[in-house]
Amino acid sequence: MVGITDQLRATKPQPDLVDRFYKVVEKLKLENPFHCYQCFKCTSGCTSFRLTEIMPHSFVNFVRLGFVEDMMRSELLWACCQCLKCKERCPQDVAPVDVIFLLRRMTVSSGAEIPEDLSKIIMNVTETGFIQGIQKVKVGETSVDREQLGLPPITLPNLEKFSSVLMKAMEEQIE
Amino acid sequence: MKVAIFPGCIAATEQYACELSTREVLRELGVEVVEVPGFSCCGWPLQNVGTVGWVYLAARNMALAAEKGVPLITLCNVCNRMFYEAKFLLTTNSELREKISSLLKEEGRGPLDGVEILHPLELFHDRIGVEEIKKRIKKPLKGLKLAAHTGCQAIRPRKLRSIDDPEYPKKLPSLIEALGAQSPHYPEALDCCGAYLFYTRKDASLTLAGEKVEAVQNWGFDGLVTVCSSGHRMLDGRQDAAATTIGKALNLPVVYYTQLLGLAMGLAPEKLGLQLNRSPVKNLLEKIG
Ligand code: SF4
Ligand code: SF4
Repeated sequence: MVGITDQLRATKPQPDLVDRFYKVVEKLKLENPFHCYQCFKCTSGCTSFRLTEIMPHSFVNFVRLGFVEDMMRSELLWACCQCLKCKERCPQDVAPVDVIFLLRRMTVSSGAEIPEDLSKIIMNVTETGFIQGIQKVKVGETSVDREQLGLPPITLPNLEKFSSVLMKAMEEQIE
Repeated sequence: MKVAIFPGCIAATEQYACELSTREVLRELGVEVVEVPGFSCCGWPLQNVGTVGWVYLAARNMALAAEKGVPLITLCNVCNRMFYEAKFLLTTNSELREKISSLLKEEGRGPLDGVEILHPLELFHDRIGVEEIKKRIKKPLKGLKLAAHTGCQAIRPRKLRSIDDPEYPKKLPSLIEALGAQSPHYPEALDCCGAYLFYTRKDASLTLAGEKVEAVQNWGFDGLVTVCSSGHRMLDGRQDAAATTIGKALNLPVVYYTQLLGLAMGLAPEKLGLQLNRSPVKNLLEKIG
């Protein structure tokens, strides 16, 4: 992730996005990132940090300084594994993971692309109700499904209705 | 006692052993499972793209179970958290609540509230109880040392609900010990399985799973025990892929707690779906005898 001096030289804060960010923070009753005192506790225990260099405290800090768009464009936005340790441990209840997920949603509503595999399962949910179709799984040389194992069928009563209401729900963006 | 089962996408479409073994042990324990047709995804993937969509999905599933008036058991830790988070948002945000109510009416659903969400750990540990489970054991798992993987989303954040201690979970180890095995704490007990990084950073996701399995293996455990279909898919289903990613040999038996409980109650391995596990559970079954 970029250093703070580089950031200050490279771009200007983005007041529109900052406004939008704080409106949603208020709506969803998230903790105000201004309560963060940069103690680093979130980053020191972050599961993804070691593998991807994501630094939850710095997401919070850049957002506080007004660099919302830069954080939205960072590929590290998609490096959080949602282990929720930062949310549990933050002494100020700031929950960097909530900041990260809010930025993900703002990115999407601004029309930017999201990782392909994630986009695929979202599409499947809107079209079929599940992230994937009912799979056949291997047992030795053969493969079996729910029915062959004696499990009750999985059914969505009215798929067309389900999809249309869900699409409508998804259009009601608050981010 | 009556309950409904919310499988979630992964148990419903792929991790069949999870639902199979849960149904078998509940029958054996005298817990009746009420069928609820019409469940969908809990909403998690949509949490990445907007708020109303995912809360709507969580709420519609809760409404389906509320119509039956029984507690809802979640077979995936993520689904469990999504339901609690949706409940929190629906009680603290009246605008969102109104939106969701009217969307639910459009699909012909209601009421919104009133379903009790139960994690399997709460069902087995707090409702049925360790003492009751001990009484049902026909085949104690003597001499086995098994690692507990409670999973991240079941225990954090504590503010949302407290299924177990978020820094030192004890319920799964004590449920394993109720079966006659040992389940000592290990330093990597809180390490994440990587499940939800799989859709955005595949390599990092498999590295997390692989390193978790490797650590448990290195401590000399006979196996790893899960209570979540998402975590199980990473640690059991993707163990081979994880081994390739980290370049280590992994061969650790990984079983659902319900499979282990079933075995200790004397149920046949096929009834518990052990033929579906991808990790070398044979090694474990041989030790149990
Ligand atoms: S733990 Fe909380 S207060 Fe400390 S740096 Fe992270 S977000 Fe800020
Ligand atoms: S939830 Fe994300 S940002 Fe927070 S500690 Fe876990 S991986 Fe790091």
